[in-house]
Amino acid sequence: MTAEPDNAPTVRKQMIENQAIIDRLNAALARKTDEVRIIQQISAEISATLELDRILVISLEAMDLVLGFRHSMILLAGEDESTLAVAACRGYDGTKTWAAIPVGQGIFGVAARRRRIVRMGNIRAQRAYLSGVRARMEAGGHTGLKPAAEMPGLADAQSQLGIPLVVKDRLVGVLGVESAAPNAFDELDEMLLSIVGNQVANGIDNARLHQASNERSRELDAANAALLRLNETLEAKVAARTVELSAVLDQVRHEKDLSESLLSRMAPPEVIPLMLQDKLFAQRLDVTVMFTDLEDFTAYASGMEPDEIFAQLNEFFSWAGEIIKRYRGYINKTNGDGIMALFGVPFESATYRTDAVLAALAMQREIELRFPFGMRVGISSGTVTAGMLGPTNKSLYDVLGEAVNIASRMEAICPRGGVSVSPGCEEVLKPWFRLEPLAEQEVKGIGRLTCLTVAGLRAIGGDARRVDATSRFAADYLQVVEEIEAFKQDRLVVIDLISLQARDVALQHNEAVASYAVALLRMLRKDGAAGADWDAIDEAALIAAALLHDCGKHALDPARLNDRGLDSAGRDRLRSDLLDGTSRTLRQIGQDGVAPVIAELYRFEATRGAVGVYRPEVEILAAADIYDALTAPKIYKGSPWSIVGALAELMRLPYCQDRMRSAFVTFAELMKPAGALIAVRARPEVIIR
Amino acid sequence: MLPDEIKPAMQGAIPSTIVTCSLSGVPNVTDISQVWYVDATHVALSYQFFNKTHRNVRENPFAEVIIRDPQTFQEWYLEIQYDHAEESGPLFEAMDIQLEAIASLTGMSGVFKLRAADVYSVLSVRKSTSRA
Repeated sequence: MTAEPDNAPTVRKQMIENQAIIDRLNAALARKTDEVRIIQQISAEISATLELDRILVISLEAMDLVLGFRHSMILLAGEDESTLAVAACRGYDGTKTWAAIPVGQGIFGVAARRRRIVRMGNIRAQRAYLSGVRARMEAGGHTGLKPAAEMPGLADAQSQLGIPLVVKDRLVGVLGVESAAPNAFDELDEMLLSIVGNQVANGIDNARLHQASNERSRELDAANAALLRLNETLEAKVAARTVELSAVLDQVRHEKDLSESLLSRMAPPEVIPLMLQDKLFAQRLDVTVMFTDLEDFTAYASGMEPDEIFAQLNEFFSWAGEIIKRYRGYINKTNGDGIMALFGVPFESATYRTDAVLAALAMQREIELRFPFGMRVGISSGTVTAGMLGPTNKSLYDVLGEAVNIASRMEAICPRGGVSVSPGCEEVLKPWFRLEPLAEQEVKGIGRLTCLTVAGLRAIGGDARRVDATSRFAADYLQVVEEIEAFKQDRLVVIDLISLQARDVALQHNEAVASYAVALLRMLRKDGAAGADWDAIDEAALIAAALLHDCGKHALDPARLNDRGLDSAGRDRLRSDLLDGTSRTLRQIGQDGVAPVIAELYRFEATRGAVGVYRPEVEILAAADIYDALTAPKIYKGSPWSIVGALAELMRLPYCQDRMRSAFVTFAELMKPAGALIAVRARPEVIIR
Repeated sequence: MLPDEIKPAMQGAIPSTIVTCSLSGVPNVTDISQVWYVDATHVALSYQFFNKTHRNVRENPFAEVIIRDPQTFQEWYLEIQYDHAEESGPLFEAMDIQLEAIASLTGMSGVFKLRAADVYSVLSVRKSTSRA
C-alpha cells in the first residue's frame, strides 16, 4: 500500500493536467465558435449593403471591435492596378492622410503585387538588417538606390499582415492590419483575415459594379435626356426650316407663275423659255394672220357702264382665245374690240392655213349663240418676220409682213358674220371649203383684189372626189349625211370633231366614214347580201364608232400626225398611240361601249384582216374608213385617189382577196360610178395609209 | 524535433547567428536575418549573396545556428546539416515575398534577389540555460 501515496499525487497531477488540456481545448473551441459567428456576422453586414464607403467602415469596425485588430486599413487599387490608396482606416490619428503607394512597395504593396498573403512579425529587425546592407552597399560605392519608402500606417510597425483583395483575377486592393508589437499575428489570424478579406473583396466589387451600373444608368438617363432635347430642338428647327423653305418655295412658285403669266401676255408660251434665256431671235416664218372686229359694238355699248363694257369685252376675248387656241392659234394683240391672231407661230405648222379658217368658222358659228353682236374676220397667209418687237421692256412677240396688212384689209371688207380670205389662199383652201368671191375691191396699199369669203365646209355629197354623182350612194343614200349631222348634234355635241380633224386636215373624215358605213349597212340589208346577219348590227352604235374611231387625235402632237415620212414601225406606234388615246377619250365621254369595235377596226387595219375573229361591223367600218382615207383631199399627199382607183385598191387588199368579204364587194357597188367595173386582181403587196 | 515554443524565435525579430566551418577547418561566425521554420525537422536559410557562410556549407554541410525569442530572449542552439536548395515552390516563394517586402521598404526593390532557399536538416535542438 506504500505505492498509493506515491501514486496519488501523480494521478492528481495527471488529472489536473488533463483538465487544463480540456479547458484549453474548450477555450479554443469557444474562440473558434466565436470566430465563425463573427465571420458570419461580418459577411452578413457586408452583403447587406452595396455602398462602398459603408462596406469599408463596417469591415474595419468589425476587425477592431470583434476580432481585436486595433490598427487596420483597406487600400484600394487604382484603375490600372499600379497604385494603392488608403480608402478607409481604423486605429490611427484621424487627421492623418497618406499618399498612395505603388503596388509592390511594403508588405501591403507586395501582398497586392504577388496576390499573396504576406505576414511579417519582425519588420523593425529586418529593416535594420537590410538598412545595414544598404549602408555597406553605399559605402562600397553602390549608387542609384531609391530613398526608403514612406508607408501609410504606424511608423514603428513591427508586425503586418496584408491580405490581397482579388475578385475574378482583378486586384481590388489590400486589407491590412498591423501592430507595433513583434509577431503580433499568427497563422490563425492569417486564415481568419483571408476569409474576411474574401468577403470584403466581394463586397467592394459588388458595390463598385453597382456604382458603375448606377453611373451607367445615370449616364444613359443623361444621354437620353440630351437626345430628347436634341430631338425636340431638331424637330423644331426642321419644322421652322420647312415652313421657311415652303414659304420661299411658294413665293418662288408664285413669282414664276406671275412672270410666266406676264410673259404669256407678251409672247406665245412656247417661246417663253427662249425669251428667258434671251435666245429668241427674229426669224422668217410662213404664218396665217387673222384679224377680227366686232360689228356694232360701239352702238351696243353706248348705253352701258364702263365696267360692263370691259366685262363684256373681256368675256369675248376669253371665248375667242379659247377657240383660237383649240386650233393652235395665238392672240397676238387686241386693239379695242378687235383681235390680231397668228397661226403657225412660233414654230412651223403643217396646218396653219386651214386652222385659221376653221377657227374663224367656229367663232362665227358660236358668236351668234353667245353674244349680241356680230363679227368680221379677215385672213391672209404669207411669209413674215417674227420676233420681239417694241421699245425695251415693253416689247411684244409680233410679226411684220405684207400678210398682216392684207389680213387687216380682208377684215375691213368682210361682211358681217363672214370670213374673208385673200385671193392667194384659194388654191390651198378650195378642196375643203366652199369659197365665194366678193366683188373686186380696191384694197388700200395693195391694189384691186378679188377677195373671197368662206361659205363653209364642202358637203361630202357635193364633193365629186369623194362621192361620184352617178353612184348608188349619191342616188339613194345622200340623206344619210344629214342624218349623221343630226346624230352629231344630238348625241355627240361634247366632241368638236372639226378641231380634231383640223390637226391633220382630215376634214369631215369621221362624218364621211359614218355616212358610208350607214349607207353600206342599209344596202347590205336591202340586197340581202350573204356573209352575215346584217340586221343584227346596231346602226347607232355603228355611227358612233365611225364618228369616234380616232377621237384620241387631240392627245397626239399634230407634227406627228402630219409626218408622212414615217416608216412602218413608226406607223405602228402612231396607230397604237392613237388607239390608246381614243380608248381614254371614249371612257372620258362615256362612250366606251364602242371601244371594242374600234379596237377591232385598228387591229383589222394593222393586220389587213389577217388576225382576229370576223365581225361584220368591223368590215363595214374598215371599208368606209380606208375608202375615205384614199379619196379625201390631202394637204400634203398630192392628189387623192380617184374613186375607181380607190375602190380597185380596196379590192386588192389581202383580206378582200382571201375571203371575198361581201361588205367590201357591196361597198364597191355602193360607191362606184354607174357602169364602172372594179377589177379584183391579186397583188402581192399593198401599202395603205 | 523542433518544439512549437521555438516558433517565435524563428520570426526573425532578432537576427540569428550562424557558425560554419570551411573544409580546411577555418570557422566563420556571422549574423543572418532569419532562420525559417520549415517543419519539425527542417529549417531554411535565405541565399542572397555568395558569401563565406554559403561557401562553407557547400564544402562542409554541418553548421550551428543560435536563434532568439524576441519576447523571452530565450536562446536556442540548433545543430543543422545542409540538405538541399530550393529555387521555386511555396517555401522559396514565401521567403522571396518577405525579402521583396522588406527590400521595398528600404528603397532596395530589385536589388535583392533571393537566389535559393537553403534547406537544412535539424540534427539537434538545445535550449540555452542562460538568457541572451
